[in-house]
Amino acid sequence: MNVAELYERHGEKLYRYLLFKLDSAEDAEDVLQECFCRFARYDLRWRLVRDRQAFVFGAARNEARRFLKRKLGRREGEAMIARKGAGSFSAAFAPPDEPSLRLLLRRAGELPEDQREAVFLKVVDGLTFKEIGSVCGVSANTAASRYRYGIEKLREALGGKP
Amino acid sequence: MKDEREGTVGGGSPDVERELGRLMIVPVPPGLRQRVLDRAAEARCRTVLTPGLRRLAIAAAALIIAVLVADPILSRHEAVRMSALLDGRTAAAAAPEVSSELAEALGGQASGLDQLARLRTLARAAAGEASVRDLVTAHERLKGWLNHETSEDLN
Repeated sequence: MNVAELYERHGEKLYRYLLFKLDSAEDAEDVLQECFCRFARYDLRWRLVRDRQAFVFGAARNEARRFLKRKLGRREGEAMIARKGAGSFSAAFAPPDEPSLRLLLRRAGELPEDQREAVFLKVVDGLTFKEIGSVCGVSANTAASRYRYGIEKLREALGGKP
Repeated sequence: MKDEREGTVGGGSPDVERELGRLMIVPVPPGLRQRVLDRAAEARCRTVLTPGLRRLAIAAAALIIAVLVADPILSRHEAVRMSALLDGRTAAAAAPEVSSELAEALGGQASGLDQLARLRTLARAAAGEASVRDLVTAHERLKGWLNHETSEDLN
């Protein structure tokens, strides 16, 4: 697998996803580098991978968890992962000028982590529900439900019909 | 909302999605691509198993597995062969000798005393054969030392 080609396809998307997960540009870059080091060593494994997009996002998610455990210490990192505190919309988007967009961004940041992640992966990175399920370790239907609940909550928050 | 590639109904809202799509994504830091690719190339160079070594390792592993699989099969065949050889020889060689001697001792037309005497002779011969052989060997070894002695009939 050509790493440069892999970066062209998924590098920037992965960076944004890691920014969303870790809420820090420096940490996102560190973890992205770790991910690509891992991908560079995966010569044989690439032949077994069916869905590359889901695979690279899953690997990035795992690497982010490992990074959090390392950085915050095992116990605190696990506690943070358990309470699903990581994942920030505001880190991945530039602050908007429009008040409605500012409100949307704030409301999106207040969604439960599962729903927030499903919405982010679907809207920003354009993953399918099957891919989102594969990344998050749930079924495609669960991923679709999370997305639907997240979007409904956002619509309610923005004053639309539930 | 329908996921076109998977056909899963997600039930989203086009207006909210459209609004989300209007949000400006944070730009990627300059030089990120180069830094990431350099680090990946460095990691690849430091990989313990080069492609050649990896092929060698796979071949060695396959060979070890083949030996591990073949060894029990071969040893089982060998054991069967050896036991067949050994059992065959003892049964085939020893049995007729003993049976013929016993038949000769017991089955003849001689009287009871005769038969008893023959059996005793056979038993004595069997018991004494080994000790006589040892005595003869020891005597032959001592020949040089015992030149002044007269020969004796050990039998």
